[in-house]
Amino acid sequence: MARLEVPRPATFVSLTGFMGVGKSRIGRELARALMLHFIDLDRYIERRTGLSIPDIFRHLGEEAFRRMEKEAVRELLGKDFLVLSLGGGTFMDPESRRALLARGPVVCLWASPETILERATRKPGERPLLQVANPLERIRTLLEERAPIYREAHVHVSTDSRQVDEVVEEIVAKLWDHAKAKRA
Amino acid sequence: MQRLSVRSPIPYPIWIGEGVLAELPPLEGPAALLYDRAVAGFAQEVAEALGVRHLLGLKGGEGAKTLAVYGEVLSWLAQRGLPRNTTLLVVGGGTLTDLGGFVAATYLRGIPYLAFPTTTLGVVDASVGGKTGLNLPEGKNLVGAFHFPKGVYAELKALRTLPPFTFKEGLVEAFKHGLIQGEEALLKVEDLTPESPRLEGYLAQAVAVKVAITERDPLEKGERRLLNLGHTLGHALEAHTHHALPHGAAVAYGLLYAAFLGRALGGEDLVPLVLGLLRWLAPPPAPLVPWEELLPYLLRDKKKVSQDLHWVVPMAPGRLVVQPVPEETLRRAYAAYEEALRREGLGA
Repeated sequence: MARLEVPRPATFVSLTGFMGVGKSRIGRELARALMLHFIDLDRYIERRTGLSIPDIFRHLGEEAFRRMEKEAVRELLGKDFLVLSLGGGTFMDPESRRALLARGPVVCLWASPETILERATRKPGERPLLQVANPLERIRTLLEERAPIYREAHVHVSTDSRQVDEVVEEIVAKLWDHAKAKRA
Repeated sequence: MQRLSVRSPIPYPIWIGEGVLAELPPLEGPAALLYDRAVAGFAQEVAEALGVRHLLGLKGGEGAKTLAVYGEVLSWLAQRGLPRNTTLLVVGGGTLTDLGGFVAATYLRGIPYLAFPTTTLGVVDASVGGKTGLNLPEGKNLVGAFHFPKGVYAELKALRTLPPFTFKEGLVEAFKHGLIQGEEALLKVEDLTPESPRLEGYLAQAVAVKVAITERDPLEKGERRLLNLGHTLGHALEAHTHHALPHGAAVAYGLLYAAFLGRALGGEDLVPLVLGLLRWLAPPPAPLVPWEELLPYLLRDKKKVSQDLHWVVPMAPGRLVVQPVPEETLRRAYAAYEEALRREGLGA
């Protein structure tokens, strides 16, 4: 018989992790695998404001962006049947972090600084935080700073030199483990 | 408080409102109470109201409708030596009342039971019609019996503890009843919440429609087939997604497709109305699968979708047709349906 009782391990999953680890790409495929809706937080904010993220940073400043981000998270927490890919810094806000961790499983994606830089330079201009002289050093510092906070996520998966399918499969398996552990 | 009466084949009352336990008649013999552990608090209230000493808590959901659980419940009753005049009280959602009703239908060749539905679906759908039963590994509802409760007691307080989606999901059936009967009030769902003062009257009206249809066609020969509205595509979507798409969501998507069929057959445009239902429901996305992939699920044991499959098509609220539909029309309506889902951000 079809699995009637619990057809999916969760109905609200957030994806966090440093910029360039693959949150948007993986999130979209994860949503497909779990038959859930998908929202990318940065794209959501862009649609809402009519401004691109680099433009928001440039004209309104990071602080204004963080406020919008927090507001958007609060709004989206009310939705269900959703895979939500966060921005790289969203999870750093204690209030958003607490709320997201309480709402459903949070998956953190990881990649090496080299992979992150390689992916970031493919789309120059879209990553405002890396507009510095030594971006690799900048990534290392930021990653080190943020790692203890990222570790608060429930599920951790590496995306270094792996196919999307493979990563999604691992996430789904770990989400089931997480759901079972929580029920027990 | 609302009181509805089912007249045939066996008369019984359906109470809907706050404080329904005050309407319980005194029981004549011993009683046993079967409940969903998710509503243990309310089950306790029922037990106290009737002085019941034998209580059995189960995990609700489709997992309860199995031969194994059924056997356990029977043994539990037998071990307590409960006699034929025992009344079984069943507190829970539709799956638990299906199981409990079937236990009551078969224990000692049948004992009386009272139903206390605690989900909107249980109130609207399972409290009328007398269908009880179980699933087999081979499929859903393959075992069962008609057995009518002595009374149905739907307590609104219990519905207030439902997860928001579960609350809304059950009301898709009520919306469907509104479309069948042409009851405008049932088609207005946007402001319905567990706290809404309209809820009691809304549920009562939805139940009344099902009572009326069931009484006019007790043997499921004609009119009762109208209750399948939205279920043809709905069941196919459920099966295709291995039930990741919840039943209420699948039926809502099925209603949208039926609305497109109605439009194609020259009926009133009901698409905006059903899109309103979907926006309020906020369901998981519908799988956007090619028509060919859905065909096997639509057909099951039938050979041709255009000849053998009868579709319930709404031409206007209160005016439906049940008929085969040419394959070309079915495909074109499906394309329009998919297009609408994409536009609404409801497809995946």
